[in-house]
Amino acid sequence: MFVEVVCPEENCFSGDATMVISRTPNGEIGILEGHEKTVATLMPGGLTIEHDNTRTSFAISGGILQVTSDKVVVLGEIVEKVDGDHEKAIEIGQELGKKAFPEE
Amino acid sequence: MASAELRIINRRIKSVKSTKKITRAMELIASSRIVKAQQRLTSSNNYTNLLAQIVEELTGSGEMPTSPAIEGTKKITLVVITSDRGLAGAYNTNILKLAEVRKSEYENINNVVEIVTVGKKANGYFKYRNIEPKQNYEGITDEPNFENALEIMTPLVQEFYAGKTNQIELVYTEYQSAMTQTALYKTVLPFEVEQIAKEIESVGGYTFEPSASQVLSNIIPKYTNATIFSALLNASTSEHAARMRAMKAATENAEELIKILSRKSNQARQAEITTEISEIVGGAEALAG
Repeated sequence: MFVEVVCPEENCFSGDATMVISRTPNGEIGILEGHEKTVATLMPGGLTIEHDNTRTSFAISGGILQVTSDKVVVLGEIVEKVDGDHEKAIEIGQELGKKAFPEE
Repeated sequence: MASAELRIINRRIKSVKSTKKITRAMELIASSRIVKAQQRLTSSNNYTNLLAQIVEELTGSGEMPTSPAIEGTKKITLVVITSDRGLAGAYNTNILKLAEVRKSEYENINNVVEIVTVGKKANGYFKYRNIEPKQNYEGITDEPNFENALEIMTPLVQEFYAGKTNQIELVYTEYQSAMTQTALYKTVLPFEVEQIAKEIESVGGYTFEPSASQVLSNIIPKYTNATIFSALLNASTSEHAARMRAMKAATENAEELIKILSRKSNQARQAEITTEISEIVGGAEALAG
């Protein structure tokens, strides 16, 4: 499935992937090929995309995830690529979230 | 020895030439920055459009709130976006003129208008007229980033929800092309669906996590942030474009001026030579006589 990670300043990721992992207020969410059409709120934390047998992780200050029949779009306000695994991304992402929205 | 007139003209040519170098350099700088600014504008538009698309799905689900109508005096915050530096033609003048028009329009119907300025020029303009801006931001418009947008928007949004202000309106310049930039105004809050959800076809059939209304309340602040970020980028791109055009015209004028002045200089030099010759001839004739 085609995955796009878009933030206001740039397109962070765009390409084919096998899985997208992140967290909504209801809990961890993993999206595979053929997921039902969804719009979800993402919590500040990590976003990991599995593609070409590797995993790319991003720290995200919160965002919106949209799954349509042919692609997955993630809209994040502040998105940073992380050298490390999903846990590391979650840690940095939560910091980002606190920085961007101090009142929450 | 060169005559006084000749020296004065030559000095002017020199000064015009050095001015031309400056305007030419500014033109080149602006034209290189405009390319980068345009790229950023495109990717921000991409983000905003995707967001608008999701909002459209939500409106299809009938979860869109309507803001309550406010009776009586409204408090309106105008966010005026200009540049920090001048020498950009009519760029700042146009935006300030529009801001002034909007302000008096609101004041004529008994609303209270507060001003938030982005850019030194707007701040100076209002201060000079004894209007103290509620908040001023500088050093942003050259290359705005998303943190800047948050910095401006977060306090305003808090005020909006606390009822301290009833409407937030942006006054900025929209970049249409390298030749055309238009000063315009746009309401950020209260949130209006019509202004964004036009012409996007709804597909429907989505599930929302955790729920449509929660997704929505999450999306609105994102949309307002994206709106002001896109306004900042538009303003910045327009500023570079306006400066490029202004400096191009200035360079051309300098060239024209140099041409005219060198003609005058040649004329003065020739007049001097003619005077000298006639003096010599006159002297020789007097001696021969």
